[in-house]
Amino acid sequence: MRATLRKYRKIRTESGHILWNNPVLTQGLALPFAIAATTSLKNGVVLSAAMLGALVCSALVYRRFGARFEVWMHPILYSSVNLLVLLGFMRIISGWPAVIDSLGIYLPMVASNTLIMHMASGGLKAEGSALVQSLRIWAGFSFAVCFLSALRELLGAGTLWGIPMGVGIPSLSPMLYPFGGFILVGFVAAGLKGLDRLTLRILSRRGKLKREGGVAGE
Amino acid sequence: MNNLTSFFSVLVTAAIVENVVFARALGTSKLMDRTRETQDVLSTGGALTLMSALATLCNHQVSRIEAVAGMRAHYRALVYLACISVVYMAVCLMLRKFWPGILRRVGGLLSGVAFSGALLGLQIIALNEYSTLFGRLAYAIGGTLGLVVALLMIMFARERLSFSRVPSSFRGLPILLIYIGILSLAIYGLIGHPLAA
Amino acid sequence: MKLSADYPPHIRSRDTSLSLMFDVVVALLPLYGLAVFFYGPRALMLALISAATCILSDAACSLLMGRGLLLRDLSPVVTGMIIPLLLPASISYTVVIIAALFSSLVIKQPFGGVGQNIFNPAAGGVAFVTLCWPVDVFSYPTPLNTLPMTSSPEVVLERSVSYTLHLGGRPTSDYLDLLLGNVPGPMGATHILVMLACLFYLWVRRGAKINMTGSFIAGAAAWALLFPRGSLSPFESLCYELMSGSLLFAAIFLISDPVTSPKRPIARTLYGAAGGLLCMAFRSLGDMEESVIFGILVMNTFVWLLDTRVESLYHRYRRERTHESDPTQIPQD
Repeated sequence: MRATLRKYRKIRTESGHILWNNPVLTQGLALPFAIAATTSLKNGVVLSAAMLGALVCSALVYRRFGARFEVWMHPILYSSVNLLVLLGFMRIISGWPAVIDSLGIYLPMVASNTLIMHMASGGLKAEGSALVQSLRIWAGFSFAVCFLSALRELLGAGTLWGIPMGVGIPSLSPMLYPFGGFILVGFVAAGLKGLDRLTLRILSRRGKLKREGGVAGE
Repeated sequence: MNNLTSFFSVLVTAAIVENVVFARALGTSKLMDRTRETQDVLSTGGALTLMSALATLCNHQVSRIEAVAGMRAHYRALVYLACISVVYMAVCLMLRKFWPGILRRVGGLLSGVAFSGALLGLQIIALNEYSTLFGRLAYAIGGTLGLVVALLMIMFARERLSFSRVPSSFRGLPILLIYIGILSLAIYGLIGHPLAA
Repeated sequence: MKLSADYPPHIRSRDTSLSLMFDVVVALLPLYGLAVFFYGPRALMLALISAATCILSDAACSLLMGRGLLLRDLSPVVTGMIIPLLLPASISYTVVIIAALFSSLVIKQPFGGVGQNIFNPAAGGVAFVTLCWPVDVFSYPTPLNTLPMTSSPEVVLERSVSYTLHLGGRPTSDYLDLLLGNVPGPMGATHILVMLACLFYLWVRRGAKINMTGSFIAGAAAWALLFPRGSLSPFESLCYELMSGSLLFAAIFLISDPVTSPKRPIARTLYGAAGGLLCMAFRSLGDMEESVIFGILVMNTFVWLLDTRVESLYHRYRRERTHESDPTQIPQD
């Protein structure tokens, strides 16, 4: 049982950025996207795709050129690179004007936000591939944003990707307002924390019982 | 007198009715760090007001260029971000030349504020909704004042919550977000309808 | 000596939370009696469903968090009884259940449960369903019509006096009808005379602790006199504003909630007055015909500020008084 607890702790550390050390739900970064922009799954997927380009480019630029510039110049460097990335991205999705309008002010904010600034100002470890680390952070952001988008679209409009789901829950349109986002993000963050604590407690208790000879098997 | 009245009316709308934190969730990142003490909140607010005013002046001139005025809204937003970068660089260069000590002390705060979603979001809304410099400045400054008030309320909330028997899973960021959500719900009673993104 | 640690306050009083909650339940019963008289037994069914939902969700959360069941806790009963009184008698059972669930699972339990909530649970639940179903929440059945017991009864619905005021019009209802509750409106908030009787009962039971209600009404009255809506005279504005919507109900049952209100008398008076002004400001400037409950939620956030600032003023005042009366004595704080 001690091996199971150790295995769980190892999984927790390696996949930390997705669940237990999620940049949005645990560290509180890039919250405006999670709270206000996640009104449909399409929005969530588009935001994730935009953030992928921004994060990867910022990480590579930081690793390659970061040391050549003074610290106060770094934000300008990342914003400039991400401006070009976002320009290209907006051209690609120009066939989805409804999604662009729905995202409103939040799509341009992908070019410059606390997630990128945090990642580039100490969030990236000196050892290890910058690309892999930025992808891990992106995975955490993407999970949070897509999960919340799907949940809010289901609760707020009764649809998923625009397709009516016909579930028995009444559609509560205010879940699509920012206050619905705040409350849902709070509950999802608490849920993750609670799940982690519960798992650790169960594994520790079973391990303790086994050491005392109380549990048969395993 | 009319100008002054409309200036204050736009300021109050931006600060209370369309509060950037409660109505648009801007400026909510790194809540736990920025709301520890009154000094943190006021210094964030001061830096944001300065950058907001300078950025609005710059963006107002740029938005009058025909090529920029003819762009679609989401492309124009990228131009505004480029202007914010230029304003930030100008402020930092000036500080580096004349007051390098100040730049070392407030550099982190300045970059955090200049490249935060709150500033860019306020600029985009102010420049899209209003056409005069007066109106745009009023909205930008009102928005930053609203952010300061919201952060102060959140700071008091943290003090209050530290005395509550909040369940362990909710302690910290989750309960703070739920608190802000309920306050945002209350402010929606004033607006009555969702604001355009 | 066995010492046990517990959270403050440690002040002993003849009032317990059970007796306070029981007083409120007793004060709400006449309103339900009149609701049954005006709308039939559906009013009681709404109360039962709402209270049962609050009790079950509170119990489930208490068990989940390992706190055990509090059998002498009447707070979910009070919340469950208040919610339907702020809604039309024709409201669907689903809306009432969602309001009750929201009040318990979002407004109360995450903050620590009984006695720890910062916001008024009933106000929060009703505010949420108001935003979800604004048309249903602001459409009222005609009084003296027994409503069917179905979940969503098909009845003729009308608008209330608040709607006319919101549009800047002049209400046509008699003052007498308003006093007797013979107008369309929230199920428990239209019977002005009965509510005043409930206020009298609470005043007798709680002594001088209704300064919040008094100052709330005074603040609201001041706004109504100074800023009458539409073409109303100040006196007409005062009468219609105080007797319409859920203002008086909020003054008696929501603003004076002991958990979500300040502790010192002066803080309570300030809180009540500011609350009255804010609720009227929400009414006058807001987009909804009735937004008193939203004003209550905003005021709940200022309770901590009022408590701490008034407490520090009290300390300073006591220090100065002690120093004046005996300069040699070291002030005890």
